[in-house]
Amino acid sequence: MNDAYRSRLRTADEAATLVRDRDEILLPLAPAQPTGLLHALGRRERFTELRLLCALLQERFALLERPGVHVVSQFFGHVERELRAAGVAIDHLTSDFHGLELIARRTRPRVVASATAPPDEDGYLSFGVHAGASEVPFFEAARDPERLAIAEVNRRTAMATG
Amino acid sequence: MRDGATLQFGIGGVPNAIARILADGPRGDFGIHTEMLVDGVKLLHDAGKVSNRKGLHDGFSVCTFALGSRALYDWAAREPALRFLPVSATNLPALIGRNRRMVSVNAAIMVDLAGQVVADTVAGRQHSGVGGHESFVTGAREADGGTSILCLHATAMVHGERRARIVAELPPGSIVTTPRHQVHWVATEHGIANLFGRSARERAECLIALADPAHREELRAAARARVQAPRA
Repeated sequence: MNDAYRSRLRTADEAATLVRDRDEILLPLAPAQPTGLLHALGRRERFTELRLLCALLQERFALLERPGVHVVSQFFGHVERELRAAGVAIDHLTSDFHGLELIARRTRPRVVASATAPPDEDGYLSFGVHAGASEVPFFEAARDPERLAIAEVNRRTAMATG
Repeated sequence: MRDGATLQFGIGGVPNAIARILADGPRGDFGIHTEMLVDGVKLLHDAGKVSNRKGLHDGFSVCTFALGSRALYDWAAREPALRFLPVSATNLPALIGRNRRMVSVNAAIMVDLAGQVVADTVAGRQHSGVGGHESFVTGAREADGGTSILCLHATAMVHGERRARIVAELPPGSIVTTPRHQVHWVATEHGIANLFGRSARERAECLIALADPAHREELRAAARARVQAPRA
């Protein structure tokens, strides 16, 4: 484990405290959603206004039903449909998949979060089997001192080439 | 589907099933340029059907995410001829159109006799998403030798009633995913027809032939009223 990696390492609960009560988070599609972070955020009781820009949710995270959370999904899967059937106010982002990347690059959500593979011997992470609409915005957020890029290291995420 | 085609498979059971059929079929020398990596693509690779002589990202199957079985993810992580690229590198029609004989295969929910395609909503309510549907239909049209195929069942069971999915007019509140002028091939269990270069009347005739036989007469009557109206 190199020093740069160690200095940035946080638990999921610690990472969740970096998200503000009024904030916006861009999430990748289901295979790369940072489930630990989302569960940790769900342990917070309420938010003033947290906008989750997402697509094809992986599971029915408690966060999605917390007061003050506005879920905007670009692609509905079974979770979004289940939430809607249960009366949860879930919104749809009218966009194609490429449009989601454009929207994220232009509206610049403050937080971009993604699951990654554990670092290799040189400290590089991998987004695994997902680049999608969040890879480019993730790097932009990482370079911007006003923004936050959260990589959730997941041992089940494999290193893949891209 | 010809030898040397570059393939895209959209979300849904039918596109994936077509990939599986191709893996067992006589054609080959395929390329892969797709939004979503599905299990069928792994089967094509396993069957030695993929050469990736595409004209863009030669030597590599490219996609932007995988969605499938654990075996697919394990394979994707160790396959050196596979690249996961940002969606702006896979889904731009101008890039898609640079692939040799690009063929996109996607699902649809409903098509009207003009060829307008509904693929992500049911009765105006969000069911899935646009994803790469329009991008790949549009991009495939631009490719040298390219084309698109949209697959749907001619009918669907709704509350115990068999309803047409090829309709004279889209129901009120319907939302079009891909516009009529982009559409090439449409396939149902009753056949396949190419709408590209067809007149409004010819398109209607093609689509009626793909509809469930029980609905064809009603569709013919509607088509006569819409596209063969007598001159005043």
